Amino acid sequence: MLGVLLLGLFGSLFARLWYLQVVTEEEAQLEAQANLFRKVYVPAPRGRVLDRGGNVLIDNRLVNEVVIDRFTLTEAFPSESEQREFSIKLAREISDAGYLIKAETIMIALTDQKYGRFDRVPIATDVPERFSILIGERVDEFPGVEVQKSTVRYYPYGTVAGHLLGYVGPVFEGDLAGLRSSPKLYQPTDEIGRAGVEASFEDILRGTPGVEVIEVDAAGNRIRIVEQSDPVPGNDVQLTLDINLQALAERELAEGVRAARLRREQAISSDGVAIELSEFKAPGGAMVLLDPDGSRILAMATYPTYDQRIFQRDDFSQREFDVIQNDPTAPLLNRAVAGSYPPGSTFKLITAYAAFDSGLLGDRGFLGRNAFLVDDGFWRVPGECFAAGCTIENAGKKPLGDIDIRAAIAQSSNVFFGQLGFQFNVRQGFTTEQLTDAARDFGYGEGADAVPGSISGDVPVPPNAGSTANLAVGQGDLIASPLQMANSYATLANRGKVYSPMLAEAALDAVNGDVLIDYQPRLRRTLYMPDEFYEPMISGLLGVTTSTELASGTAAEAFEDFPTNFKVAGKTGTVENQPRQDNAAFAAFGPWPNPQYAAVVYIEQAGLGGDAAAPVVASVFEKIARGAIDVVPTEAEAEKLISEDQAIAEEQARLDREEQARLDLEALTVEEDGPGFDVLIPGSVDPGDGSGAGVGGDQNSSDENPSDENPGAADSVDPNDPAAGDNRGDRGSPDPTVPAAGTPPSPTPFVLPEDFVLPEDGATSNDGSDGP
Amino acid sequence: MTASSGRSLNPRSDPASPWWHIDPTPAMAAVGLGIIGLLGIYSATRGRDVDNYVTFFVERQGLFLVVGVLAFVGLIFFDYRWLARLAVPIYAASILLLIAVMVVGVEVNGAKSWFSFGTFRMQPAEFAKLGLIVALAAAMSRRVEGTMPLQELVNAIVIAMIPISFVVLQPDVGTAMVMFAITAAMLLVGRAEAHHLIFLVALAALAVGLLVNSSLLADYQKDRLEAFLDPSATIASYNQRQAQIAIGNGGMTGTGFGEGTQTKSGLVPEQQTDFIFTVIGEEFGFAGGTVVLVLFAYLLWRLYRMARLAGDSFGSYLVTGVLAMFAFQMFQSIGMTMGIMPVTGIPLPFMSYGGSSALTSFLGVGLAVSVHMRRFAAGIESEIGNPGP
Repeated sequence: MLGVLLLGLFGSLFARLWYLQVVTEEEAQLEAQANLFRKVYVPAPRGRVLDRGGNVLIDNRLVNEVVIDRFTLTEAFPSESEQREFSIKLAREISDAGYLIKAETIMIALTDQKYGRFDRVPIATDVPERFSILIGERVDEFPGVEVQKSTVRYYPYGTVAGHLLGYVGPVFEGDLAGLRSSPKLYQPTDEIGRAGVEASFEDILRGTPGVEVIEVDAAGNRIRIVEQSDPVPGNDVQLTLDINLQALAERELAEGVRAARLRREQAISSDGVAIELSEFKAPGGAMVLLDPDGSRILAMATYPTYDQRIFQRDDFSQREFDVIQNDPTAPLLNRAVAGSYPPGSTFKLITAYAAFDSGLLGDRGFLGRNAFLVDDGFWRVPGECFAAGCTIENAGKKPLGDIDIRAAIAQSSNVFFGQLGFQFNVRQGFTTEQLTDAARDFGYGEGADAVPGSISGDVPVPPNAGSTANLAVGQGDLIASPLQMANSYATLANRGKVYSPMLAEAALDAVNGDVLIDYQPRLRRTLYMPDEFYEPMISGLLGVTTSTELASGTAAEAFEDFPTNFKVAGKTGTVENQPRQDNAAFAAFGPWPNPQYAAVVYIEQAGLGGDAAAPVVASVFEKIARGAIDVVPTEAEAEKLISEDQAIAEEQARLDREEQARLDLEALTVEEDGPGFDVLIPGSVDPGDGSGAGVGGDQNSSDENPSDENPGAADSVDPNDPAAGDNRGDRGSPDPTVPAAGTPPSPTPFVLPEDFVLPEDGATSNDGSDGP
Repeated sequence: MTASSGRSLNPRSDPASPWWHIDPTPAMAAVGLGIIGLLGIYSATRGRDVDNYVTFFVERQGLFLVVGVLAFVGLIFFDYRWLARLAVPIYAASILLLIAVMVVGVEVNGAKSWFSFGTFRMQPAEFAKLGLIVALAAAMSRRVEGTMPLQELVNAIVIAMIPISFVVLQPDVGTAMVMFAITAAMLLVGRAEAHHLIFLVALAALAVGLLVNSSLLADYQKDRLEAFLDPSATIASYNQRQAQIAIGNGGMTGTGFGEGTQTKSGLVPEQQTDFIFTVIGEEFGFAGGTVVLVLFAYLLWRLYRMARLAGDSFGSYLVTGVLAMFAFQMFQSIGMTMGIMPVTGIPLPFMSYGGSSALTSFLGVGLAVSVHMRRFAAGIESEIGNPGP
C-alpha cells in the first residue's frame, strides 16, 4: 500500500515536471526573459512646428505629472478596498492643489491592464507645483506617488491655425499592431499625432525613444544596464504657413461671416420689386491663401472653429466631445480642406479655359475668341430638357447685352457660360468630357496629399445637355474644397502651372536647425496657356474687381478704393444651394501682373459672392498691399500686452480725470475759449464717407484711435499742457491724420470690437457714429 | 543484492556478520543528491559579482555533507536495537530541545526554530523527527502480533502530538506536517485499525480547520495556504509562479550550470533551501530533474525494501518512519516548486542548504542501513526470528 502511494507520488511529480519543462517550456521561457530584463523607454521630445518665419506654432512644455508606482503601491495596499481609500485620499489632495480629479479616474488608471506590475501609472498631467511639494512632505501617506516632469504639447498662439495644426492623443491599442514595425518604437503609453499637422507629419515630429535594457532582480531593482541607446529628439517641421497671415485670415473670415449674418436675403418679386427676406444664416466658411509659386499654403482659415487643446486635457469627456461633434455648425470640420462645395461661378474660368483649349471659343467652335454674344438675362436649353439647369438665369435675371468672354467673366454671365457648356454637350466634335477634363487639369477631383484632412472632391461627367450647362456655371454635382478652388486660381496666376498644394517647407534638425528635408514644389502639369487664351481670361478677372463707365465688375464694390499698386484678378461666385440660402464665394489672385497671393473665401449661406466673400479677400489683400499685417502676439505676449494695456488705460484714465478736472476748472474761468471741442472733430470725419468704408475699410491699429481723441481734443484747448503733449508724442502720427482724413474719402478708422478697449466714456459717442 | 546471493558469492562468510549484508547504495544515492544540491546551492548563492562569487554557502553545505556522511558511517556501526532501549531518553531529549528552543532559540523569518552557536545554527525540530520515529517504533514494537489495539494507538498519538504541538508553536508548520506524515505512515504499517484511522483523519481535518481559523497560524502561513487554494495576485502565488517559470525555463536540457536567468535574478525566494529544486530544474532541465527524481526513487525503493526485510518489527518501523519522512519532504518540497503543493517551508532532503537537515537526513539513511545490515544478526538480547514484514 505504501509502495503504491510512493509510485503515485513519483508519477505525479514526474508528470508535472514533464508538463512544465516540455509541454509549456516556451511560455515559461518567454516569461523568464521578461523577468530578467526590463526595457525602459526614455521618451524623446517631439519636434516643433514652425511657420515660414520661424515662429513656433507647436512647442513642448514641461509640466508636473503625477505617477503612481504600481509595485510600491500594491506592496503597501494590497487589497482593492485599501486602494480605493487611497484613491479617494489622493484625489482630494490633488484637487485641493488645484487640479480637479475624481477618485474613480485614479482607480481606473490603477487597474488599467496597459500598465505592468512594475510600471508607473500616470494619473494627472500639468498639476500645480504645490502638489509636488506636498507629496514630497507626505511620502509615507502616499506610497508610490511621485511627481515627475513630463512634456505636453503647447500651442503658443492658442487656437490660431488650430484645425490645421491638429493635436496629439494616446496611441490606441488598435494602432499598435500597425506601428509594431515602426523604428520609432511606439509604446502603449505613448502619444501620437491624431489630427492635422501633428498627424500628417508624425514621421518627422516623433523622436525615437531611448531604450535601456536593464537587468533587474526580483524586486525590480536595477542591477545593471545591459544596453542603452539615447533618445533621438523628433525633428521640427517648418510650414509654408505665415502665422500673421493666418491670424489675419481667421479674423477677417470671422468678421466676414458676422457681417454676412447682418445682411438680409433679397429677392425680386414677379413685378420686379426687390423684397427683403430673412437674414443670412452664414453658419460657416473658409478662407485659403496660397502663394502661387508652388501653391504654398500661407493661411487656411475655417469658421467656426474650436479649441484643439481640449483633446489633451486629461478630463476631456466623451460628453464634451459629443457636444462639439453634434454642433450643427460643425466646428470640427476644417472647411478649408474638407468642405464639399460646388464652386459656383468661380468655375467659369475653367469653362473658359476648356472652351479655348478645345477650340469651342476660337477657330472651329461656336464663337470666336473675342466674339460677342447677346445676353438677355436668361436662356433656355433648346429641345426637350427638364433637368436642373435647363433654364439658365443671370443673377437677378439681369440682361447684360452684347458681351464677349471678358465681359462674361467680369459680370458673371450665366447665359454666356451656360451656352458654352451646352455646346460642349451637343456640338459635333465636342464632348462634355472636355469640360470635366479641364476641371481635372486644374486639380479638381484630385486630392492634396500633402495637406492633412483634404478631400479630393468629385468631378462627375454630366449626363445631359442641361446638367452640362449647369456645370459650366459651376453648379450641380461637381464638388470641391476651398483649397482646390484656390489652387485652380493659383494655376491661373501661374499661367497654367498646376502645383500640388504644399504645407511643409522643410524638415529641420531640432538641435542645430539643419535642413534635413527641403520640400520642393511639386509641379503636376503645365497647361497650354498661350496669350490668346490667357489675356481674355485675365482681362475678365481684372474686370471683376474694377468698374468702368459701361459696367462694373461683380466685386467692384468690394475693391473700391483699393490700393492701385495691387491689381486683383478675381471671380465672384454665388452658389445655388437649394433649399438653403446661396453660398458666397470669391476666388482671386494678385497683385497682377506678378501674382504673389491667391485666395479663396467661401461662406455658406451668405448670399452674393460680391457682397459677402469678396470684401473678406479685399480686406486681407489690402492689408497685404499696405504692408499693414499685424504681428500676432503669442498668448503669453498677449497676456502681457493686455496687462500693459490695462496699465496704460488706467494711467490714461487717471490723466483724463485730472485733465477733466482742470478743464472744468478752466471752463469756469475762460468761457469764450472752447465751445464743443470734445466730440466734434472725430464726429465730423465719419458721416462724411461712412457708407463708402462699409465693410472693407480697414486701417491702422484700432486701439490708438479712441485713446488719442481726448488728448487731441485737449490739445486744441490747451496746447501747453505737458501731460497731453507727452501723450501725443508717444502715440505718434495718428493724431494729425484724423483731421486730415476729414476732407478726402480715405480709409476710415474701423474698430474691431474684440480689440477695442474703451478707456473713456468720451469715446463711446464717437464709436456709435463710426459703425456701419 | 539479496541475502541468498550474498551467501552464494561468499559461502565461507559468516552470515551473522552484518558487514556481509550491508547495502550502501542508498547512502550513495544520498551523496549523489547532496552533490547535485551543492551545485544548486552554488548557483543560487554565488551572487552577481563575477569577480567575487560567494562560496560561503556551498562550502558550509559541503562541510555539512561530510559531517552527514561521517554520522552515517558512525551510525551503521551502531546496532539499531539499542535504540529501542534508549527510546525514552532520546524522545525526552528531543522534547527538551524543542522546549529549550522556545526559550533560548533565535527567531528567523518569524519562527523561533533555531539554536545559535556562533556562526552555526541548529534546528532541533529536524532531530525531533528522528526522535519521534524512534519513540513510535519502540512503542509499537512491544506488540508482537495482531492489529493495533486502541490503547496502543492512543499512546502513539500522544507520543506524536507532543513534539508536533511544540513545533507548531514555533511556528514551523512544515516540520509539523512531516511529523504528521511520519506518524500516519508508521500507524499504517503498524496495522492500526482502519476505522480508528478514519476517525483520526476526520479528527485531524477538524484540527486543521480549527488551526487555520485560530491565531496560531501566522498571517504569512494563511497567505500561503490561500495562495495555493486561490492563486490570485498575492505575493505567495507570485513566488510560486516564478518558481514554475524557473523550472519551465530550463526546458529539456536546462540553461546550463550558472546560466539560469530566474536563478540569477533572484526571482525565486529561498532558492538554496526550500526551493532548491527550481535551480536544478532551470539549469539542468528535464534531464537534471529526472536524475534527481530517479535518485530519490532509488533511495525510497531501497528504504521500502529495507522496511519489508527488516529483522524485527522495531527495525521495520524505524525504516518506515525514515521512508515516510523522506517521501513526504521530497514530495512536498518538489511539488511546491512545481505548483502541485502549497508553499511550505520544508527542505528537500540531502539537497537543501542546512546542516540540521543534512545531518538528520544522513542519520535517517544510516538508521535504515543499520537496520538492513543486521537483518540476520543475532540480537543483543534475543535470538533472531524469521525476518518478517
